[in-house]
Amino acid sequence: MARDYDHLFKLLIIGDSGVGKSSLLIRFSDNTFSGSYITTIGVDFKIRTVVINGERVKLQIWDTAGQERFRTITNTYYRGTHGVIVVYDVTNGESFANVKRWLQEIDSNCEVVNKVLVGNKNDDPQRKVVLTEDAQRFAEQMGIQLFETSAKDNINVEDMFLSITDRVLRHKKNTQRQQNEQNDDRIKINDRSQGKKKRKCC
Amino acid sequence: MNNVTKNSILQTVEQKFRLGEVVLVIFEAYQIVGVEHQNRLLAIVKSGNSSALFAFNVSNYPPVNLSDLHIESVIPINETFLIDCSSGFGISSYQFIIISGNEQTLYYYYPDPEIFRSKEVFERTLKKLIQEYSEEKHGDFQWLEAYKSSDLTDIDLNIALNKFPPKNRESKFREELERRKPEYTIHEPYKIYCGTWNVNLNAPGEDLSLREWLATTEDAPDIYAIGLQEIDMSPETILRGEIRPDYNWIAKIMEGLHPADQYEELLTVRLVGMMLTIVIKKSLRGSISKCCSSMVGTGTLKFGNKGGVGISFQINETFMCFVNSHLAAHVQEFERRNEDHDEILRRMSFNDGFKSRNILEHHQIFWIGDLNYRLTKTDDEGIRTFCDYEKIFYLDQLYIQRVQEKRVFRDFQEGKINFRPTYKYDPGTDDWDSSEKNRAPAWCDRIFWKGARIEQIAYESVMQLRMSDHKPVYGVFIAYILTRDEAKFKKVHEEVLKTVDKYENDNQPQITVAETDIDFGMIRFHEHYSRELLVANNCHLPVDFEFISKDDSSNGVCEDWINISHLKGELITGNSLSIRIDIFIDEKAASKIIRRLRDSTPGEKVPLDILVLHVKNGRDVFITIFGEYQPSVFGLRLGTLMKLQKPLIEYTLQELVSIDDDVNNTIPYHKDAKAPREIWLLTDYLYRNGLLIPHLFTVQRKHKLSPRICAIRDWLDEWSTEPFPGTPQTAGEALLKILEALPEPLVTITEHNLSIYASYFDKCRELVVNKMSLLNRKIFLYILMFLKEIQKNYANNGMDDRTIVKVFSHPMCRHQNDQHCQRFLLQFLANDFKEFAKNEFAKQ
Repeated sequence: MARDYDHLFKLLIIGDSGVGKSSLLIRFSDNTFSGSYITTIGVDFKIRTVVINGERVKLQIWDTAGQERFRTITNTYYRGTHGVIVVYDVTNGESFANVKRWLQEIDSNCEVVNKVLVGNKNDDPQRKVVLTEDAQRFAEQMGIQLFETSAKDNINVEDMFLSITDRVLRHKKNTQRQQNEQNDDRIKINDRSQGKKKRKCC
Repeated sequence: MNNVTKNSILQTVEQKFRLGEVVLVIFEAYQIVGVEHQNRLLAIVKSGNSSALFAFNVSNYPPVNLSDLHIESVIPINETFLIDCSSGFGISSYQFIIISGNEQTLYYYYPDPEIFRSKEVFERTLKKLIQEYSEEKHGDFQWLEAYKSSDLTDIDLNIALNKFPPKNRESKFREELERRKPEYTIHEPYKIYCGTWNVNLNAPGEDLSLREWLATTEDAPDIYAIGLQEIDMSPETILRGEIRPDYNWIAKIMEGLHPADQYEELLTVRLVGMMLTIVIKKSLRGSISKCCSSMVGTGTLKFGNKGGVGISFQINETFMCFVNSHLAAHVQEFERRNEDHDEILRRMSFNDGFKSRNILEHHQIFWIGDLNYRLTKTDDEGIRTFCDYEKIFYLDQLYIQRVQEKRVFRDFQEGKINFRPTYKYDPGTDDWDSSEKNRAPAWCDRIFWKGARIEQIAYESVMQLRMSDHKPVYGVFIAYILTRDEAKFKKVHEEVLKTVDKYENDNQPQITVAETDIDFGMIRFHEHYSRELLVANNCHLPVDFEFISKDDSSNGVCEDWINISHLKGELITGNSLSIRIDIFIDEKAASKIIRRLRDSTPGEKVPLDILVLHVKNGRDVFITIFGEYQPSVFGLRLGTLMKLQKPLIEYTLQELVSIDDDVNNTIPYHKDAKAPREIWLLTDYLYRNGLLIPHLFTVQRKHKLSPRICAIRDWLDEWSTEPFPGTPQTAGEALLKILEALPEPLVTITEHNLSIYASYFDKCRELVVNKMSLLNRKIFLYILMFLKEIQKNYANNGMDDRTIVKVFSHPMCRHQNDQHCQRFLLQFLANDFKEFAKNEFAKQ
């Protein structure tokens, strides 16, 4: 047990400014929540290792500044990302409307990546404006899973992160399996060519 | 360490601890790390029912302040804790080993008689605490958490000052798992059977059954360790140093085991007459690892007629060792037996391929064999007829050497002997030796053990086996083996992962930035602006920062009109740095900044650029540079200049951009203009005041940074009616800057075309007509006519045509290779183009 993890994945959290991206990250990594709001001016990351089916998955989770003026800069942080968490604020319709743009950002920056849609601040029904049904319908259209979370009340945060991690892990395994199959084929071909060589030598 | 210093050091150490935590003893030692000796201050600290050994790294001796002491390791005194002070020779006589779990640390004493006294106190205290722990079997080690966790987040001066890197995550992970071992390990009882028999050169006969010896317990033992001596002592065997196991004996042992379970031989080791076989229950196979053996020959020429054989293995989390030895014979030779004992202890070493460990580096040790210690001379008859073993036991040499002299088997234990001496009998009988030698009876065959959590439940001899002149002896033990509880381990493992995650997150270097928004306010062409960006390292790690490019392209870290005084740097904890950020909009930047701000709202501060301040292994901070720009004639297109209806300062930047964008000239040129007003004003001024001035233009552009440029800028932008605020030289420079600041070069002929045609005047004229817009063409010819005037006054101003073209070629053409452009311009200065120009000027 020399190494302390079996897999290492990079996750990226994006979404409008003020939807609670950093709060989700801190809830997940430190299990804390701070009511005071500090805008992320830059890009932050935290580590958390989770165990999924006995395998230790080390997550490096990047939290990006959501402000519009940083959008072109944050694009560079998509590189090498295994999963993207798109966050909106259920009490802010505009942040939900902007999800489409964020999804476009993903498409223009990543080839294949696992995604999850997250409606955060889902802790006060009085203030909720983005209905679950609408978000659910949209998520289905886009073919991504929806989670409604509250970093403040620690609702669904763990499940959401574990779900995207699980997806990324399964994706990696599928890819590896395919590669192995291809490699097997390649080895067979190599074997044959080696066989030919041998015959030539004789 | 004299008493005064010792007391003051003790006081310093005590400050490290909290109320209720008592520093019992401090002790100085050193450790050899790599090639250097590192001083360690060891402190034994007790809190409630538990205690621990703290090893401090002393950065300043004698330690006076808390910061002079850094916790190097914290070792709880629990069941895995062992101290081994058995002295070796030379330098190793000053060594002692602290073992905790699977880790062991070798320390050395200072060879100083003063120290030896405190060494005893140190040793005694530790042993007492180990004893206390094993009696209570439980201690609350919670209080140690404070020192572990503070170790994680406390500022380690050496790390903060960048002397050492922080521990890597992986070693932290292993450390944590090891440290929390007691939480996920339990002690499981295993029945250990140890047997020893000197078989007196007999081969195992067919009718021999060892059941009476090996299968006497009610339950089947888990592990057998069977040691035989004198299986063969023929000269050939001795000379060869026979090490091949005797399979007849092994087969006999296997037959004689407890019938209630399935067994397999784990390993056998033989040296001449000595053989040790470890047999385990088949079900235990998976729990055993790192199994290896060792042998030591002592006695004459070290052939192995005497000495010891041993087997070491790990069972679950416990390291076990079995030694079978046959020590020197003869009543009077007890000192040689002592020496044999020492030699075995010193030389026996087990190597599992990764690591060597000696006998004492095991949690549980069983030492058996024909140790050959006799009963010192007394009335033979008395011994032969005694019934009360206790009465004669004090005559046992081994009792004297071990218990009274503390010479051998120190720290080993032996059960109470309740059997007749096992030597020497007439073979085939239970009668004492009746030979001529008439040897006195003795307890030659013995079983010792060392280690925590071992209980002996039987210690017997077997009278019925009469083949040899010795009787076999056996000891049965319940040994508690440290075993991992998988469910608990899983839980601790996950918690440890969280701890190391936290460790990694806490060990992220961070830079503190005073402001992430830097406002430059109003920025004007050709003026210097400067702001300070204060960065500091308020974290406990050194910070390695660097401004990095914000996109994947090879662009610089910022716009080229911004200059950063420190593009990268290193800050140790507590240090800060003022980074200067300069903005200077020169002729190259003027059009770019107008483009950049085209979408801004007038009067609103806008991001001019965003800097990405990257910290190695840490987060990135975005620094936004805000500002407004006051446009000037420098940086506008020629067409735009031609369309201005009022002083430039009365236009907003956005209005100017929209005029600039009007490339199809839907907005008409100003009705009176032949050339842009600014170019006309500058050349007109020079016609009148500059033609005769020596060195009006220089290749070095001496007036490039003249502050008068700003005055000229305002004079032009405001359509001022004041007298021209510059000099002829600065007017010339301003003219060049207007050309350089144009978004596109005045001469729009490609470098390639010029390289082919620049030597032919008619071709040059054609290129001017075909490749340049009418406006550019007119202004080009207008300026050339002015240059021709300067050339004409060569006698007064000393400016020849070569100097003139060298100054103007790049501002006009901006080609990489300036040579062709210079030839091109020379064509016009050398030839008469008055008619050509007149024609072009007439065109609409």
